[in-house]
Amino acid sequence: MNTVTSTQPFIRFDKVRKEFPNGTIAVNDLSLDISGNEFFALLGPSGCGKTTLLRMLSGLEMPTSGRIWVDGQDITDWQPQRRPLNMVFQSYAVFPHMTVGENIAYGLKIEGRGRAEIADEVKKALAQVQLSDKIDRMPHQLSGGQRQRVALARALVLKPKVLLLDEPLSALDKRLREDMQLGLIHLRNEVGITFIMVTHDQEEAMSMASRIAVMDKGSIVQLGTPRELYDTPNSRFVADFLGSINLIEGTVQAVNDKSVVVDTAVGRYINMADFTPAVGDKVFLGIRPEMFEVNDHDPDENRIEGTALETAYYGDYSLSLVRLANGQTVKVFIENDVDGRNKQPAYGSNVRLSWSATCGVLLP
Amino acid sequence: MKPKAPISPLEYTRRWWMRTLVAVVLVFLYMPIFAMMLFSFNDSKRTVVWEGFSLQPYRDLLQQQTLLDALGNSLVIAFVTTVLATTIGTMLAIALWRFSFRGKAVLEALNGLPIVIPEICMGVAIMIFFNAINWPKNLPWPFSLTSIIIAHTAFCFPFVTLVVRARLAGFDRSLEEAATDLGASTWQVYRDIILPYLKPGLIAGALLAMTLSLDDFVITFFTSSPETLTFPVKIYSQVRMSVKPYINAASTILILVTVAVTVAAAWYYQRAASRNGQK
Repeated sequence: MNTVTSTQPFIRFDKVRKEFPNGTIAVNDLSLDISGNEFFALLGPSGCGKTTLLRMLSGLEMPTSGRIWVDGQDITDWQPQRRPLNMVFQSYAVFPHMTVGENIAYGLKIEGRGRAEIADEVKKALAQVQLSDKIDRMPHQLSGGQRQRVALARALVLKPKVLLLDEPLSALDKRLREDMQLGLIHLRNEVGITFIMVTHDQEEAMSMASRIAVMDKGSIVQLGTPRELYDTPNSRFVADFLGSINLIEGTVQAVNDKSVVVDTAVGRYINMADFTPAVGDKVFLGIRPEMFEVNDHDPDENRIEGTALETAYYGDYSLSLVRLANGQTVKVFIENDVDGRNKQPAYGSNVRLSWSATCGVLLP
Repeated sequence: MKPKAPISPLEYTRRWWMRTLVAVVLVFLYMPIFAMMLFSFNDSKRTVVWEGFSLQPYRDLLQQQTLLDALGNSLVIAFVTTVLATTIGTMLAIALWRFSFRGKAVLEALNGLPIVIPEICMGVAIMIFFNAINWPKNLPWPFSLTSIIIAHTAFCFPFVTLVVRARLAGFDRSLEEAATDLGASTWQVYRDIILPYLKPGLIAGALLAMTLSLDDFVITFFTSSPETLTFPVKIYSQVRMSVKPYINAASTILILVTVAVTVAAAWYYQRAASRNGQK
């Protein structure tokens, strides 16, 4: 068995590749380090390889090539039964013919623990997920959220080094999802192990994860904290996938120290750039809907004129569509003030949008 | 008087022609059976004319040693066939569900063959087969029943496969993966997860195999010898002369046993289903 120095990360994917028999490359020579005690999210559209990556970590799929390390051990060839990780499945996979207690005891029973010890551990695990009174219920008598907590307890009772979560909230309704987001963060802090979650829902990833890897076509597109990914996406794909963004196409007219001058069909704008484009390059100016100021009069800011179209009211904010001179529509987020001042533009009225050069993102 | 509500388009149960149709079907389906049960208590030697209530046919039945032997044969054959057909049928169903391999489509088609082939052809084919391989004929009881058991198992297990496969189609593979993830070996996954899930399908398949074996006539007719007559074949040979009341009695007992077993299985299935919250 290989042993490694302490500089090694807790989980390491080393050029992991997965090709399916039909020729699809689900994961393409991917390398990724995850440190201990993280709440890590693999985020991407369906078919991006995130679930395959998680399943290779759990041992339910074997990589075509590459190695996987967990806690200093190369587990690539280990059977799933042996791996110090447990998984919460998207469908929860709670055994329908066993009671809640039997479900949670199952892994311990397989390990051959004593009856008294099992009963004790099951009780503790149930308390952890606040289901102590449901020990003798059958799964079909539980709600979706309770079933998920059974699946969580069943996995955590085995004291894994890593907990894997496959689309943990996708089957819950909106209200329950919010509760569960906070519940999972709390649970992770309590048990203090690494959680790795797979999701296609950017909100789910951003609200819970300490770090996110955005995946597309079997590779990681960008890796960072939710804030980094949201504020400084490195591509149109990431910008569009995390939250909503307006993209205005343009050509680089001049490159200054850190700011770039971009000519677009609707005007000339200055924006900061994290990369150095060449003059004449085609670039995209990305402005999130909440970055726009509506009808503000700061002369230093970038400005754009348009015609207001439909507005949707969401209580604390409204979302308006604004048509620019070139026919493109942009989304504008308008905060609704408590004092009732109505800033919503009337349909067909002229609006002036402005944003500062540091607020937009320049994307290749 | 309260006026009758008009009949809406889908209220078929309130239309006279539908009611008539149902009544006719029920009469033709159940009248012969009720008549037979009724006449099993007839105090008469041979006629089909009612001459008063009597338990004489049942007493006569107990005197018919050859018929009781045949009944014994049928039950032994049905029991062994049920066990074998359920085991083989389930194993085939799992293999077809779980693996993809060369010739899988052919195997599936072959599995359907015993169901669609005319029974008379199966019967003749099995008879010729046992003759061709010189199957020993003078084995002591119960080994003399082996050839019939083999024949019954051969045409019963495809039905079990069909039923079990239908049940497997609804199995959530992630249950299996979850058990594996929790440390269960392949064998433990089968024992703890897949078999409990399959239980209703296994019971339905076993019942099907048992009833098919119990009342099979054609195939058994070609495979049995005078020492290994089964109940249906024996009754057929006696009815050729005349219908004796004790045959009504024997048939009544057989029907009651079958109904009891079926009701028990249905009750068990319902209870298991409601406990697991499945349909």
